[in-house]
Amino acid sequence: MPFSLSGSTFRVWALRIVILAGCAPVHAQTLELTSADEHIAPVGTVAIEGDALVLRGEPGVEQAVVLWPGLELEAEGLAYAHVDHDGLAPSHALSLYFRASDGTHIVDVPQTSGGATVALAAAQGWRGRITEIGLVYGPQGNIPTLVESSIRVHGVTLAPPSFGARFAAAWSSLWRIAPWLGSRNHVLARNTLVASAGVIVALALLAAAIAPRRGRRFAFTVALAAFVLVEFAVWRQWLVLRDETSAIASARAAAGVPPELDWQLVRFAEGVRRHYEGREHELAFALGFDDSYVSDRLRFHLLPLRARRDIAYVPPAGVCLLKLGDEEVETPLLRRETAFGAVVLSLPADAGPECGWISSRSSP
Amino acid sequence: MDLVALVALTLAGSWLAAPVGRSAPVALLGRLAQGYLVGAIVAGFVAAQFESRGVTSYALPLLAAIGLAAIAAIVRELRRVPVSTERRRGAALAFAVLAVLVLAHTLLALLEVRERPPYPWDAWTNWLFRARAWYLEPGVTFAWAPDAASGATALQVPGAHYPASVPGLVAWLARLSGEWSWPRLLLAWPLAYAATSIAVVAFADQALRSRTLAVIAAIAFATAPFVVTHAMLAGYADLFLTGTLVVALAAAYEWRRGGRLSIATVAAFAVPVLVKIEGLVWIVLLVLALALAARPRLSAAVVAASVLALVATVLVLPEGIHLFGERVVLSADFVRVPYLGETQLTLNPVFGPLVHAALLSETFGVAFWAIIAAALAALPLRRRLKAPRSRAEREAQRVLAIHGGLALTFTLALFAFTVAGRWAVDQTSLSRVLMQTLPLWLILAARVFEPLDPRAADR
Repeated sequence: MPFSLSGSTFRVWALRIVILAGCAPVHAQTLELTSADEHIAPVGTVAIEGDALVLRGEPGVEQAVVLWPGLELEAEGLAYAHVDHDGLAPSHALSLYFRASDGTHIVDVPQTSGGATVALAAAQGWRGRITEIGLVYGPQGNIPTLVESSIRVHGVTLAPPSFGARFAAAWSSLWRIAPWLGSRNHVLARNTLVASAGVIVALALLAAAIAPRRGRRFAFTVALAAFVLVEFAVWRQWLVLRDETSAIASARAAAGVPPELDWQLVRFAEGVRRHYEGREHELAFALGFDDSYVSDRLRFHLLPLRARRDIAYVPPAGVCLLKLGDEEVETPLLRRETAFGAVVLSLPADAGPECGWISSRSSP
Repeated sequence: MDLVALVALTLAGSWLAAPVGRSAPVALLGRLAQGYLVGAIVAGFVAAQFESRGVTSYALPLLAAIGLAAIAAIVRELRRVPVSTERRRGAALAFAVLAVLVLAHTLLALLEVRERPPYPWDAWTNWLFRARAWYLEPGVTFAWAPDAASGATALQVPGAHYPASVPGLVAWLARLSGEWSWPRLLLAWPLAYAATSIAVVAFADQALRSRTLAVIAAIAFATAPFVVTHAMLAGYADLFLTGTLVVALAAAYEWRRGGRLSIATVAAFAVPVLVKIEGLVWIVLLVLALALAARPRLSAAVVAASVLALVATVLVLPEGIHLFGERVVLSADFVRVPYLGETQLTLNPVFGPLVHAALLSETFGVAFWAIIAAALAALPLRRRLKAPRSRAEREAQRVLAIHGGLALTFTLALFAFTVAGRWAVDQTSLSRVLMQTLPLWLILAARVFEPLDPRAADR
C-alpha cells in the first residue's frame, strides 16, 4: 500500500515504553494473546504460520473468527487493546470481540496500515469479568471482494490505562483509513486530526490578524503547516482507498464478474432482463425486500424493465405482474442467494391467464 | 464522439462566461471553465427536451450546433486583445500550487470513475437512473409514484420532479458514444470538479485585491474533501450546481461592476435553475442581494416586510395566507410554493449536525475553520480594510456580502425550521448545501484578510 507508515511499530513501542516506565503495576496486568495460546476458530479458517495466526474467510462464509476462551480477566485493570497485524485486505474490517458477564460485545478496530490500538470502555461493555477474547475479520458488509482476503495477526495485547496506551490509541485513530463512510451520500467520517488542525488554523489566522508583522509570518506558517498535515492525511487515506478499489476491480475483472459492489444483483437482473427482452411494456415487477437498498439497486439494474418499490402494486390492465422479494415461495420462477440475502422471483397466485405464458418459459 | 462533445461544449459555453481573471492565462482558463459548466448544463437541458419526447436523432445535430458555436468561440479567442498581465512572484507560486493540487485531484478522480461504477445513492436512484432509462427506452416518463394521471407506465423515480439537465447530458453523451459505458460517461464529473475549481480562482482573482488570497481561497475549495469526493464518487448534480452558481455570481459581480446587463448575464442566472431545485433558491437570493445592494434602503423595508409577514401568518392569520387557488400557502404549519412544493415548518436541532459537518468531520477539511477565523478577525481588521475606489465596485462587493448573509440565513432556516432537518442529522443534504455556497464564503473570508497582504493591489 502507498504511504505505508510504521504505525504498528510505533504503537508497540509506545505500549512498551509505558511498561518499562513502571508507572503502574503493568507487568502484572498486561496480557498478550498469541498463536501459542489456546484458541479456537468457530468461523472461517485460522492457520498458524510462524508466530502469526492467518485468518481467512471461505467462499460463502466470508468471515473468519478466532477466539481465546477460558480467560479470567478483570476488565477494570485493562483499558486498551493492541492488535498487532500486517494490514487488512481491501474493503475488510477487523473487530475485537469479548465475552463479559452481561454477554458478548464487539469493538471496531480502526483500519491502519499495520496494527492498531483501541480503547476499551465500560460503555462498550468492557466491564466485570472477561472470559473470552476474540477477533472478527471479514469484508465490509460481508460482501465478497474476490481479492486475497487473509490477515496475519501476531497477537492481541491488553494493557492497563496509561499515557502511552492512550497516546497509541489516539495515534491509531488519527491515522486510520476511514472507508467511504456512508459515501453513497459522500459523507465523510468524524476526524480528530482534521478538527484539531482546523482549530490550529483558526487560532493562527486570528493571531495573524492581531499580531505585529513579525509574528504574522510565524502565524501563517503554523496555519500552513496544519493545512499541509490535513492534506497529507487525507491524501494518504485516498491513495489507500484508491489502491483497494483498483485491487477489487482487477479481482472482479479476473473472475469475470461485474465491477459493481453488488455484482450478484447485477447478474441476477441481467438474467431476468435477457429473458424478457423486448417485452418491457408487458410486465412490471413489484419489489418487496426488507432492505430498501436491494429494492432500489434492482430497480436500477432491471432497467428498462419497470419495477416498483411496492409489493402490493397493481399494474394497469394487460400488464403482467411479477414479484421480486426476499420471502420464500413454494414455486419460485428463479431464486438466487446473494450477499444481500435471497432474491426470489415469483408469479402471484392470482396471476391472470394472460400471464400464464411467463411461467411456461424456461428459467432465465 | 462523446469526448469531442465535451471539448465542444466547453468552447461553446465560453460565450456565456463572465469576463473574470486579472491576467490573460487566468482569464482564458476562467472562460473555459465557466464554458464547460454552462455548456454541459445547457446541452443537457436541450438533450432532455428531445429525450423526454422520444426523439433520439437530435444527438449529432446538437453536436453540430455546439461545434459551430465552439469554432466561433475559437475565432473570438484568436482575435481577442490580450489583457495586461500582472506578474507577482507570490501569486505565481500560489497559482502553481493550486494547479498541481487541482490536477492531482482530477487525476485521482479520473482513475476512480474508470474503475468504480455509479456508486453514490442519488446517482443510481435519480440522476443516472433517468439518463439510463432514456438511453434504453427513449421517451419514457418518470413519476414519483406513477398513477393514472402521470401515466401508469411511467418509471418510479423519487426525484422525478428534479430538473433533467444532468440526465439529459449523460443520455446525450451515451448516444454520441454509441454505448452505455459508465467509465466514459462519468468523466463529466472530474471535469466539473476541475472546471469549478478554476472558475472559483478566476472569480476570486477578479473580486479580491490580493491575488495570493484569491488563490488560497480556491485551494481551500479545491482541497475540501467533500468537493473532491463528489468528483470521485460521480453521479450527483451538486458539483455542477456549485460551479454554475460561481458562474452566476461572477456574472452578477461583473454586471454591477461594469454596469452592463448582457444576455450572457441573464443566461448565467438561468443555468443553476436548470441543474437542481436549490439553484432556483440561490438565484432568487442573488437577485434579492442585487436589489438590496443597489438600493440599501430596501434592506430595512425587506426586513420589516418579512417580520410583518411572519407575524401576520403566525399570529394574526391563524389559517395562513392562501393564494392562487391554494397553489401558494403561507401558514404557521407549512409553506407551499409552486416548483418548491410543500414544506412543513418544524423546529429541528440543527446546531450539532452543522458543527459536525462543517468543523468536526473530514467533510470540508479546515475550510470552515478558516471562515470562522475570518468572521472573528473581521472586527480587528475592519479599519484596515480598504473599500474599492469606484462606486460600482463597492456595490459589486456589497452584492457578494449580502448574498453570503442571505445564503447563511437560508441554510440555517431551511434545516432548523423545515422537514429538511431530517437530512441534516445524517449530514447528507446539509453538506451538499454547504458545498454549494462554499466558494462564496471562502471569497468573503479571503476579503477579510486582505489588509494582511502588503501586495494586495488597489482596484
